[in-house]
Amino acid sequence: MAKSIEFKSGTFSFSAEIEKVDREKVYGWTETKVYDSKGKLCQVANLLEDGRTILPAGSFALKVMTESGQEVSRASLKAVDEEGKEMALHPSVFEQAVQLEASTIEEYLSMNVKTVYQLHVSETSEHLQQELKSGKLYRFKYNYRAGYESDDAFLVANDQAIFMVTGKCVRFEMLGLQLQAPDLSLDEQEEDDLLDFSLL
Amino acid sequence: MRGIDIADSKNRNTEVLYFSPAEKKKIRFISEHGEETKTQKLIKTGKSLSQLLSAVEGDTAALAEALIEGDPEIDLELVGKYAGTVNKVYINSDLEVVHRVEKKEWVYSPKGELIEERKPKHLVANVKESTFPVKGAKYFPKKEIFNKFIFTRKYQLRHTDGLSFDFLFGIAKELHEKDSMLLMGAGAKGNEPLVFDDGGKPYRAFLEGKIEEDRYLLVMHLSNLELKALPND
Repeated sequence: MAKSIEFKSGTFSFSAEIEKVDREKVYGWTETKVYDSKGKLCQVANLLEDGRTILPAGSFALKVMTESGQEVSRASLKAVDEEGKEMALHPSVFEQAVQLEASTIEEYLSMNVKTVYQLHVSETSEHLQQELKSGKLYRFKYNYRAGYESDDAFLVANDQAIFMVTGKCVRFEMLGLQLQAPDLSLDEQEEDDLLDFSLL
Repeated sequence: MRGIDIADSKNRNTEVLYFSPAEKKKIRFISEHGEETKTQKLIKTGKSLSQLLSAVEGDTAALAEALIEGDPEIDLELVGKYAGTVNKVYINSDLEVVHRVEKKEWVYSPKGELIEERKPKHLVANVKESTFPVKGAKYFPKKEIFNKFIFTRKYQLRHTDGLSFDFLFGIAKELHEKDSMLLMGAGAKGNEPLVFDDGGKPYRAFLEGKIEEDRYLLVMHLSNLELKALPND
């Protein structure tokens, strides 16, 4: 059963089940197989630095290690910010209602998109449908699972459906000329020297 | 930063730079005792399930017994070591590295029906061709296009000197005044999708521009997905 999220704003609230939208579901997909010169099926394996040891897929494990080489469990780790302060855990969007804020096209376009979901709204708010379809956007902080850092997410609609688009907003900087060369204009003496052929 | 050869609405072209603004990592994970940590890739086994099964002639019960009794999956010389740099190679059923391979591709519809069998297409990068620069094909008002496509990735364009500053500022000004995004195309006709690397994926690119006094912002939004409702079945 699809998971459901509760959305809230100052004037309305609704809940919706989400379904992932990707290229495979919209356009289909391709499957690639690789064969050797005798027509036998090949598979991808891992060649270690020694140039001899070949390991099959799934041979590796990712472990968290301290600087002194001790393995530590992920559950015991503490998340800290740039200044070393312990960070709070943000709940999953499935655990508590999501607070919507009005947003703009500019903010939405600044996002590097990770995932897109189609919303299946059970009790449709006509007001919300109208607002979204007229181009209004809502944004919120998004955590699929509880985590220390949130992604950005927007509710976007068109004439087909309402979508939840998640990712990370990027801060773009306006660019000035900046690459100006230092002012090296000639002084009077240097201008005179230009035509002093005895200096050549 | 990498280069892209781009033309303006007067068909003048030059090479400028593009980059993706870096996201600063805000979180570090430390141990209970305050030690910095990092994730490491370790070797956990040297044998695949099929290798283990072949050793017991495919008898899963025998394999289970062997795993309990003798740990055949563990090579003490290997397991637990840091993986270091790992290269991907193709191997055949005899576990030999294969140097010359042939690839075949099966194309499926969204419903899972086989559409065609073909050789995979190898696309060649086409964003740095001064003969056929990347150029604008069609303007779309921002208000009409933002909810038609998914703009997956963003690249900001940057000038390299005073002349290319004026060039990019001009493009940004035009887009700012039109409040539109410009669909960019590559190739001789300027209608092909953009490919940034040899063997890379093709993307449609939409250029957004803003100006503020004597500064500009040009962002190329890459898309390979229309914002469409999923089929009902």
